[in-house]
Amino acid sequence: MIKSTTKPSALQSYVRGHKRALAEGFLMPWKQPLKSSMTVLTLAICFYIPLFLWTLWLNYDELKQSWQNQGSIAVFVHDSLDMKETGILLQQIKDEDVVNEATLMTANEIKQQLNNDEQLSQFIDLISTQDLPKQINVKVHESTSSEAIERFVNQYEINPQIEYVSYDKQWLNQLQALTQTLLQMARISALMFVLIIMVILGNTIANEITDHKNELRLLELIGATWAQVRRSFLYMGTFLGIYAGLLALLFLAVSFWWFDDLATSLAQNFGMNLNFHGLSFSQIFLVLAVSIIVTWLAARMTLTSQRLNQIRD
Amino acid sequence: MISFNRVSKSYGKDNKALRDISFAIEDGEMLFLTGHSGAGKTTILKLLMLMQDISYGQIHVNGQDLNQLSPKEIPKYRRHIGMIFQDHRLLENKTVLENIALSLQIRGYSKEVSYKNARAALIQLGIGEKANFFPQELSSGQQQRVGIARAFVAKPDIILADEPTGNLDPDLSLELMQIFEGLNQQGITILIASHDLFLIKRMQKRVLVLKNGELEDDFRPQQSAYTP
Repeated sequence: MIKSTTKPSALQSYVRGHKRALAEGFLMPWKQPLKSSMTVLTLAICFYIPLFLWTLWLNYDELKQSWQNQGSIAVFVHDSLDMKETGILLQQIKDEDVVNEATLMTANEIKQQLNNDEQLSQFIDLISTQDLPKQINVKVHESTSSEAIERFVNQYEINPQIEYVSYDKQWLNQLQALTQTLLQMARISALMFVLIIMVILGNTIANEITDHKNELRLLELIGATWAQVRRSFLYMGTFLGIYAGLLALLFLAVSFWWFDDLATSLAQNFGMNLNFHGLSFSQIFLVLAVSIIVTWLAARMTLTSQRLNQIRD
Repeated sequence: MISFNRVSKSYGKDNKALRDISFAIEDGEMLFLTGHSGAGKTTILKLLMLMQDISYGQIHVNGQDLNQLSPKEIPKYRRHIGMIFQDHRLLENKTVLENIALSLQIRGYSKEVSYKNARAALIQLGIGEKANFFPQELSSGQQQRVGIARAFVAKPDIILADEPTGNLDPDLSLELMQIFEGLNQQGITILIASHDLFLIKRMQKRVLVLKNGELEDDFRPQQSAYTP
């Protein structure tokens, strides 16, 4: 019979209960290693697919920014403007919020540039310098949206000092749509796989509860609260989440290692330098946090639904 | 104190396990609950453990009306009771020591304190050397002692025992009864459901006799001519 030991405080009870449940929850998956490995593997695949799409989107979004900023806006100045008036117009454009850099190219400079292109040079020789308009090349800031660029273009197209503004709007819109599609795919697949995780983990925990039905009944009969009974299962769910999250990150690293050469060579074909990268440390922690939260929630929901069915007489 | 006031328990419409039962048990009493199979002995214990709901009537334990206990209060209430089962209900994946210590650990005691007290309980019951064995490595009588140790290690007010000698030979049964008597002398109220009339007679304690869910007799050895 318990000797005259001081009765533990509520806080002591709580902390000790969690420590014990943590150890039990950690050991639970190792009791049936093969079954647990399959569960972790399935969960890891569920995490991996949205994670891969998300990482791809992060890289693609970065690439899109560089593409968007590579494409400059060409403002063709009206013939009637002399150099002084052109200089004032150039300054006006430079003062615009969206403009990062604006440079004036005279007709001679344009012709020189075109002459550098082997294929175009033979035709350019036929064009007299006077036929070419002066051109202001505009580069926008990196963060500028396509809508802001469009507003800038519309504003200068109606300016009487300007002949024409060249800007490939369709290309940017297509790029934007492609990026959004990729993001949506990542979101939808994440949602679908969260549901799959709920089902898989729910099934795993329901089996664990069935296997330990007598133990759980006994624990309740000797005075354990429902919170105490379910605690080790919640920890088990959390540990499965950590293992699955780490495995998914490993899958991702392997995929990107394999994918890197392919993507770099593809980008080089389009004349771009692509530095394909995985996740940062903070993003890795985010992934682990999400996998823990998802598996913990799945475990909790299953335990709540299983309680009445499995534990009570 | 335990009091049953016109308690009935039905399973379905026609199956009445208990019919209008009333009795009271004083603190520190030791008594037997007897009757044929299906008389309602186990039902009384299950109602006291809140393993089943009362169909009609009231049960009070230490002033608490069991009908009024909220789900959150049930674990706290159960911690005042030690339950011993005929089939022992020991956890096979835990050692004898761990099985007993579990009772204390869920009450928040540290591992060290729980194990120390569990070991002391085993020594008290004469199976101290079995601490690190698993239940399936013990005989039925030893397993029942472990069940008793688990029930009393947390110093409950009441011990309920459901056919604790059901699988034991007469000598072992008598030994277990002596253990119960020792616990009773420490102030624990003990209610034993048993159909072992020979044992009940030898123990010379109060007996509640059930028949078809009704309380047929409530006698103390010196008061009744009841001969089991």
